[in-house]
Amino acid sequence: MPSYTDIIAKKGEITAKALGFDYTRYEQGGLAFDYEGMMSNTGYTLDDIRRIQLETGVGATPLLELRNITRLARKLAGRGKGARIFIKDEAANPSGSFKARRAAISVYHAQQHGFAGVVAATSGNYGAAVASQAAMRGLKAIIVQEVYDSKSQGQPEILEKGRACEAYGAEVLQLTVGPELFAVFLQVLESTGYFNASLYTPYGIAGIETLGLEVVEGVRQQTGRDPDAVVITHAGGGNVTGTARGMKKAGALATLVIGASVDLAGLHMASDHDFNRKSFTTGHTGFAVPFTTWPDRADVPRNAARSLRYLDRFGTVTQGEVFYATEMLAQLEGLERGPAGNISLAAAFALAQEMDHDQVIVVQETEYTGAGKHPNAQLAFAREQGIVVRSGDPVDNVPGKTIVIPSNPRQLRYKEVPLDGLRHSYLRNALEQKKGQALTPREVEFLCEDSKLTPEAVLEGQRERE
Amino acid sequence: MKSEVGHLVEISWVALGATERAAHLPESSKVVPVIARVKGFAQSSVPLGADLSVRTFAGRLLTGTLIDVAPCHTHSFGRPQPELLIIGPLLREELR
Repeated sequence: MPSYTDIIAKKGEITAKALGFDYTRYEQGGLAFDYEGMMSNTGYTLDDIRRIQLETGVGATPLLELRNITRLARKLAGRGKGARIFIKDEAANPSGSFKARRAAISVYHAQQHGFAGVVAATSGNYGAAVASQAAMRGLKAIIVQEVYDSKSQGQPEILEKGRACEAYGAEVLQLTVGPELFAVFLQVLESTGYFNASLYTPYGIAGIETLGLEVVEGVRQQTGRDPDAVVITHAGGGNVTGTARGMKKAGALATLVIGASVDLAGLHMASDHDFNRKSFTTGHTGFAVPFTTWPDRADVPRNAARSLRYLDRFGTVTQGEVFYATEMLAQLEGLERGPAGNISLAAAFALAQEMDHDQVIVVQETEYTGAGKHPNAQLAFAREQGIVVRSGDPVDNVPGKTIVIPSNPRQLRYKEVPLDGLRHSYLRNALEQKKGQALTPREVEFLCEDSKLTPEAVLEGQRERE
Repeated sequence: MKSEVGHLVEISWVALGATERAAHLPESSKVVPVIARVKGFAQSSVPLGADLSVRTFAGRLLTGTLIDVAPCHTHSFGRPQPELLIIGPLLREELR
């Protein structure tokens, strides 16, 4: 294989060919580009997307009211508090997660444009989604996964996701830990000429807009009002971006968009040592923080997932709290789901208790569970890695060292992460790219659109850097 | 153990040696190579540890070292966890 730097140097050329999407049309000099222009030029309207998704059984998933969990939240909350909690049962999609929405448009587009196959770099449910959609549309699929540490020990959840891909007939290229996955992915694209079914193209994000639309429509139908808050498990930013865009298109302009991630602070995502010391492989801060504060680290020239444009609030929960929420959903509501969707459930359970009882909060996704994904599988694996698992107060969680499962439901908390801090980190990352050059007026405007900072804050950031 | 022509096997190879890796990696990653693994149908009969070409599910012909024959998924549901088993009964009690 050519060296890492040689392959990465050809990134632009390889991805442009493998997408048939001309990103240069939207460039506006330096950091700036026309985001809305790019998003509206996929060639598919929201109605088209709904139709394409329904062709392969994607979407129109049930919106379920979690009556027992709501009752529990109300019992713990003060008088008059405790919003109604709903959950969008995205596990009902063909490959068992909302990622089918994301894959549906990419695979359709690849089929329409005569590609023989699709490639995706993902260790998550997206792999199975691409493989499943490709199976339906008669295309080949190759999924490139990061699965093993250097001792050939596979993360159980990713092993399961790989198994699912193979079940749908995909080739699964499995790698050990490291960012070089991207180089291997580029090489597969180049050697096969297949379509780049990246998670971060306008097609991928447009596919999630139907989820936001359905959430709003479903809540209106069942309660006669718009949702007051929608909690979205946040990692690379696509889930937040697509859902929020769909909600806006449905006219739900006052609904709060709340991102939730598992707190994995202190664990390095590229570390061979840390890799198997986490019990969540997505929906965690290891993706959410870097992608929120610099979206253009993705496998496309311009990332269509730009979460700072849409987030109203962002918060974290601990691994132990999500395992608790997973058990709560199964035992009180009869829904065995997880793990990633239950990150927003854990957050929503805490947030509902701050809200009035006539308000509505929605957990925006579930996913299928199974061997490797199940809390028992993850906790047994964590113990094998030397991690302490015990009951207690989850404030004592230390990522990579201790998992504390709440000993009672009062201990589930949502920890607010001030967005202003993330906006300023974004600005620092942007200014880093400029290497001391002054921002153009259009760049200042773009950074304000992309981070929701004021022009004064952007210019102040620039002055501080000088 | 040997591969049989046309039967499912697993191969692995070094995708990037430790010295060919990306810059700025954590210490534990810097010192190890990036290993790739794939399953496919054996093109010849060789013993474990020998070089072998396979035809993958996507139809690609890839070559590496034979590491497993009839590879099996062994990830499981794990043993029951005491910290989780107490949650259901406790929550039902709360709601009573």
